[in-house]
Amino acid sequence: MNIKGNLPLLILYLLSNRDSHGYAIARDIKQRSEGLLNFKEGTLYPTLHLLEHEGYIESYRVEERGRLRRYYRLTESGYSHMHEQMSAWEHYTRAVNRVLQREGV
Amino acid sequence: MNNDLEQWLGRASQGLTFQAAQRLREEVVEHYNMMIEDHLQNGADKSHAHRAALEALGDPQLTMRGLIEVYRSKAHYRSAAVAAVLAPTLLFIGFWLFDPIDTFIPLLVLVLVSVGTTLWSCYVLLGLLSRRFAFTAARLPLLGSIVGGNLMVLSILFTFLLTYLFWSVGITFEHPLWELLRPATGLMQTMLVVSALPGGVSMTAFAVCLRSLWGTLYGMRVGLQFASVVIGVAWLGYSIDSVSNQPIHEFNLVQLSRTFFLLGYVAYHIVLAIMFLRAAVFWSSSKQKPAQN
Repeated sequence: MNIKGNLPLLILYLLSNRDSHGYAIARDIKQRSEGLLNFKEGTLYPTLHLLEHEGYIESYRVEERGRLRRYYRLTESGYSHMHEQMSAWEHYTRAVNRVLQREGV
Repeated sequence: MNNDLEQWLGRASQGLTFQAAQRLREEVVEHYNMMIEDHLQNGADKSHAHRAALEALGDPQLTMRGLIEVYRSKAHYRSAAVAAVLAPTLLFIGFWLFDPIDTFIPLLVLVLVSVGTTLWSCYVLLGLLSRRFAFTAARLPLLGSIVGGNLMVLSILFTFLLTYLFWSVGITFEHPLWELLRPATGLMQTMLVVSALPGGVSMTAFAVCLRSLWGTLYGMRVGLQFASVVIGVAWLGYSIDSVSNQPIHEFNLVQLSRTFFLLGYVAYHIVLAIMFLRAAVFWSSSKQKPAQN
């Protein structure tokens, strides 16, 4: 399933639960969607870097088992942006469900 | 490091700045290693783990295109700002050099540098045209003016080079600012007259059009209009003088036009440079749509 347009929202949501790094974010999306949201993991980084440039997330480096990992965390503006996007997504799915006459399904 | 991963990183980081490429490398290598560890823990053999990890990363071109959208907007606008000030800077360096060093070699060097900067400016500006970010419908004439500025420098320098080579006319300037467009020979005079009238009309028309063109100029719309009007009026003044009789010369219209042109030309490029720098700051801090002026 193509998640390109929704990847930023998914990343923001996962980061609102806990700070994370690229690999863990990709793994969480796949696991939580039970493999339905499958995407090429190299495309995760442009989205992460874009969100950081936009100020919605910020990164920091942590040394774990002798290796440096870059973790991301949600910023305040990222938190409000996530809520806006979630609300927009709910409106969108509700509208589509109405057209498909699947309200409440 | 695995050769396949090295190749993947090389392709994914094409066209990125050194820092951006390093950052990507750091993250993807760690990502790759964690994938390998997971595959090995799940019982896969080493070669299968490497293949699967590389497969999971996907097409490096997709990653590259995405990253270029993130990183090159800022860098590109900065480069455009440099391109905007290159043409007038080169012109001034050229004229200040002429006075003490009236020889062939510096002249040739300036021509070659001008060719180089013009090509580089074209490369930068064509890159800007392909950006998907909100810019403005005015970008084509704006960017064209920078290339045009470079071409003007080139044409003037070529003219000097020709006069030096074929007529051995030594070029001296009482003052580089005031003597900017002094015709060294009839060739230069003709060139300026031919370009003055259409130049004046188009710059004045461009200033008028700037008012209604959609999109943002990053708060520099009025500045650009003003500088364009000054250049347009200066060119028109020069062309009027060129086709008129001697009496107008007594009012020193040529001198006035040259001064106006010079001020307008410099102001125009400074305003453009500020506009591109503001765009760079804007795109590095936020991707929200900028205000419409």
